[in-house]
Amino acid sequence: MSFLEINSLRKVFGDTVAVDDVSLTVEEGDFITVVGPSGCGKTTTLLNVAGLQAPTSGSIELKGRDLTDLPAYKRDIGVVFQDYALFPHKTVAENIAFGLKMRGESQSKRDEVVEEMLSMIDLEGYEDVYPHQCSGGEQQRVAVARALAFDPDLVLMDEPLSNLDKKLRQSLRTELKRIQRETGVTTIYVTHNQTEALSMGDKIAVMNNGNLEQFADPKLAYEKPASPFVANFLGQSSRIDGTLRTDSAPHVQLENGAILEVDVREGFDDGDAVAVFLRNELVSVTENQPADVNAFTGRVAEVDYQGRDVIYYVTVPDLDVTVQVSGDGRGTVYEAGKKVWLSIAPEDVIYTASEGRTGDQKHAAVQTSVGAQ
Amino acid sequence: MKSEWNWRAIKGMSLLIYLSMLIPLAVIVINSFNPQRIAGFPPESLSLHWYGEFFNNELFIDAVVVSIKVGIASALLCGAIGTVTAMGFVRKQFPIKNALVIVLLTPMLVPPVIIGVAATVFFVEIGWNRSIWWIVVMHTLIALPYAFLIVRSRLFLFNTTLEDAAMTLGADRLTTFREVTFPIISPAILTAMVLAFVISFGEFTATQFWVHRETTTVPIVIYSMARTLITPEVNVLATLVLVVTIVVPLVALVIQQRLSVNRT
Repeated sequence: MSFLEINSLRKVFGDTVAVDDVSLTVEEGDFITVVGPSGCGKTTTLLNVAGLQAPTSGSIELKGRDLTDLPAYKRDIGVVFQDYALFPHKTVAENIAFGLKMRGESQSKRDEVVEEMLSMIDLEGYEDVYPHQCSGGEQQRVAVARALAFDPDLVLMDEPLSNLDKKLRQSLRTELKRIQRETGVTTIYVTHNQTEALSMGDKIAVMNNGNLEQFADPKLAYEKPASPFVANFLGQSSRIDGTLRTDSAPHVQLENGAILEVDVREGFDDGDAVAVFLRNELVSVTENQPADVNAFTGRVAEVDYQGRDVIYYVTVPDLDVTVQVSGDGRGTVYEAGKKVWLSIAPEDVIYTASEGRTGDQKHAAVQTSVGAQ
Repeated sequence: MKSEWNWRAIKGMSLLIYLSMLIPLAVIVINSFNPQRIAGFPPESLSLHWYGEFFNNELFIDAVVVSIKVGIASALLCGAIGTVTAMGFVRKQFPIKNALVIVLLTPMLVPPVIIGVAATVFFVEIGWNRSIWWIVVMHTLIALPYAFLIVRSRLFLFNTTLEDAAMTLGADRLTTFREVTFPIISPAILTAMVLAFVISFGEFTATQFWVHRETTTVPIVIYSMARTLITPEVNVLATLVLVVTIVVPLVALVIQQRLSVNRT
């Protein structure tokens, strides 16, 4: 039995299906990121696990105990809210100790834990400070400490970094990972930021339209996306549809007749309709024709210079598509109208079934176990 | 040029309006210190003579005590009922909610004299003997719409995620209210209670139907004395009413700022 099991969770609001048959298993000590666009059901899933919303159907089990009908205050699950939700009338110490106070811990025990927590989040001496006197980053850390202080079985974080500026977000990202490693607490982290999801998660759950599209190791999700949505959502890429051919050298025959050599992916057969995704950073741009297979000529339509990187929008007549490509901003930057060559190694070509998920739920479960190994 | 004159006209009018309101009040306050029985204005000398007389007159003292008792009881009831009602109306969804809000606000709209007559008839009809509780109950009813509106508008601004946070930390609903919701909205509840007290303390029109000899409130005493004979002690009483109705809110304001000093 897994540590946390979400079974066929479904949540309906009026006519809207917010979460549709989501099943997920989490092992103890894992850091899971749940990612998807706004409205994909990730926060609803979180609130159902926390007990702040009741599922329409399905069940949630933690440590073998069925939580489904248990109120939030009996679940022993810490939550870090997007707006932190620190109690404005309580000091930092009182905020952090709140969970212990509710569990009837003595004042001396609470003081001890508060001190320990403050040292963990590097805010020693903040005991008597009020939340509004703290900066956004400090409030965020206090919120994390409060959710961890009562030694919960599970911690849920709902976009905890989204209200902070970019620099702070990056440093807190590392900080959160460190805290999770030190405490070893099982964590589910919801975000709409794909970089955060890929970099922080031991496993990543990609959601869209209330469905769990893929739950896998981040590398697996990035390189072997289970659906066009996942491929498109994780990273920047250009999509081209075609048919997989495995009879000779494996390749995808594009709709206009062009051929892209690919590696064969498990679970795919000759003749499958596939969506090919060319990742920006995996396509190389050169002035002269490269010796590689999968080389196409095109014309730079637009240049988006970003300092270290430069994004080219290259119109490729053979592929019938405008491909987005990342180039090196430090070298020569090609101008619009320039004729260039694009190439991509067969093993770098990512493809999925052109519609829906690759395989069924069982297939997703297999991927999960692959990711865990 | 023209707009400048318009502006001056507005300022002049405002000044006149405020003066016409404040000067009579000032005359009463000053006259309360005038030792003459037939008060001329301005007074020739000032003394606390009538204050001495006032505090020796049981009729006045009793009225002040009754008014304060009724005021405090109404304030407490309005605070409690107003808070619970506002919580229900803001947090719960139920049919005919909007219609019920109107019903709740009717005491603000119905003329006090009607309330006075209607309540008297009703209480007599159900066989409830005239007592101080008539006044407490009815003052609570009259001030409740204001208390309800004040607490409700605070609750509209309340971030309910704070309650979610408390519950995930192990607080049941009651504890969450005690530990989180109540402390945060308490300044608004205090405002509601002060307003209820002041409304109760000054209510005359409806209250005159409900008092009897032992439950006469301050405004009733002022009215009946002013109608029969002008004794300068009325000025003292009126001055005290002014002080109470101004000082109580001021004290509340200070407490409120203390309460909310650590809050956003």
